[in-house]
Amino acid sequence: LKVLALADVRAKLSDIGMEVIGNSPAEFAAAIKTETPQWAKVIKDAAIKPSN
Amino acid sequence: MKTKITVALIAVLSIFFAEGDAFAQGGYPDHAVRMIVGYPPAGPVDIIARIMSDRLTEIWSQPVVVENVSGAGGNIAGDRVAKAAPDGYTLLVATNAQLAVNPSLYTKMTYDPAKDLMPISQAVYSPNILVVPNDVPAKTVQELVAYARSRTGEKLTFASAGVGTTQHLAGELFKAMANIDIQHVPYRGAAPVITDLLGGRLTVYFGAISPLIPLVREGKVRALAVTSAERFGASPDLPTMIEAGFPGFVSILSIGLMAPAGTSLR
Repeated sequence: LKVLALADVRAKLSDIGMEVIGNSPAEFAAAIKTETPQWAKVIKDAAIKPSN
Repeated sequence: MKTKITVALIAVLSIFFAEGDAFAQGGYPDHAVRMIVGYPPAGPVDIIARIMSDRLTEIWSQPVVVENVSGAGGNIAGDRVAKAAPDGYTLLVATNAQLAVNPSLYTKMTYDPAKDLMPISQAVYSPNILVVPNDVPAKTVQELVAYARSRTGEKLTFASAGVGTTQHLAGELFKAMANIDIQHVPYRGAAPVITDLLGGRLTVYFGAISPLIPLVREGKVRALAVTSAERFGASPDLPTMIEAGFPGFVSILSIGLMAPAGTSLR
């Protein structure tokens, strides 16, 4: 039953173009820490302001 | 000694990986858990939230209820969870946009995602893909860059589903790294972008992979690259932006679970 449920979940994910990460809290924090300065620079250089 | 956060992490992993069951431990949870979603119903974040809440409800034998609190790019939801009691009963279904983009985009943040929220696990991700209409002759990213340079003075555009979206930021990053002159055109969501893409009324689009893949397969648009760090399962033939000569170019939507900072200990 559980295996079916998981297969179902994976099919749903695939339908919407998603893949599983499932990392640890430390890895999650590290990923966000890596990503933040990249977008900070893009937002600053292109002077992007939120629309809402 | 199990912490609540550990129990929640095990539960999250069990949604996607579990061989064995992750039972409720240390009495947690003994009542309903709320999962706050900063985006509207039926979008990708909401769909993932509902997959997680359905499975967690099963695993925990306690109701896990999704609440959509949209607005300000997910900041209203983030703020609500940041200020909720750190007891494990309020969780945020968080995107990387909320965590890694909004603090730079919004000048007035009412909370600090890095300090006021505690990560549990990044559950899933989806890349964008770089597509061009069929009337743009480029077959590779490098050819696209050469095409854009040869058309200086013409109004080349890149579309996004809105200002400040990951797609907009990916387009700006491409523009800067490739040093080409392409103008951003924000649309209200992805559907009208696709209409104009099919009509050849824009030049470049970094868009969510799932609605674009069928159009690519039918030959209605051409995909040049995927923006994940590695090639993506749904499009194994598509090179990454990194392979295409843009070191470090990664633009994904990731969706994870966060809890209020201080959530821990039994």
